[in-house]
Amino acid sequence: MKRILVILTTPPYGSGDAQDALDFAVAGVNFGHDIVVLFEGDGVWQLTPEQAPPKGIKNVGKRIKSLPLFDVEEIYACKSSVVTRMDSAVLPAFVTPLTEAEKAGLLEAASMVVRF
Amino acid sequence: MFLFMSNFSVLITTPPYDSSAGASALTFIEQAIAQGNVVNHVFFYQQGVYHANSFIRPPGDEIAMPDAWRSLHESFGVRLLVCITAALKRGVCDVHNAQEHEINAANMTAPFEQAGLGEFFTALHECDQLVQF
Repeated sequence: MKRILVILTTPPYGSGDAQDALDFAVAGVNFGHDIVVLFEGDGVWQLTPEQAPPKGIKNVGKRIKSLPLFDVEEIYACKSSVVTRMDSAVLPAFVTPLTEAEKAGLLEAASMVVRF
Repeated sequence: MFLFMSNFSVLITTPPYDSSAGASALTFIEQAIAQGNVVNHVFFYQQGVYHANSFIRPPGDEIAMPDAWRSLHESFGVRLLVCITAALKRGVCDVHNAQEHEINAANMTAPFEQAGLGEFFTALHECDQLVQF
């Protein structure tokens, strides 16, 4: 089992990155790895509440909300990225904001890192 | 110089030609192997699946990425795993899927193998380093 840190850095609907990263994270758990998710930079826009994409596009916010059900339990957001872009009060309760030092610790503790 | 031998997984998420990452990945893999490491597999995901498109024909003085991967496989036996969901979504298709989906051509051939995230994560258990390009 590897501890894999998946860093999401892009907005939810500007590309397929968010969907691909979420598929990646869930598959990682299904095949026996420990997956840790970090939202960073413009990736924190994926945490915007009440997203309403048109039909045919999966709701990224809802998919993120379901991560704990798929045993992705460690979900973090870069604190300074959040503060720069939004009211941190809107962050879902299961997302823990991290300082730069805490982020460094997260990177160090991971056996592998993938960035989307 | 690596101080100890590693078993590498290489993840390619960028397309050929629009990014130089593929060429960097090839150099990295050749050097890693030359220095005694093992490269367990290359997994092509997202736009990385375009590397497996055998219809690619760059100008004569540019590297043909699918051929470069093929020769890497021939020299070192590195497995070339292509995420088939990502590939089919982008029109990269092997014979088997061409038949199944009634497409009149196939542009992904051996040694590229169709795989899923499952195969990748299973193989990852054997690896101790993951490098993404």
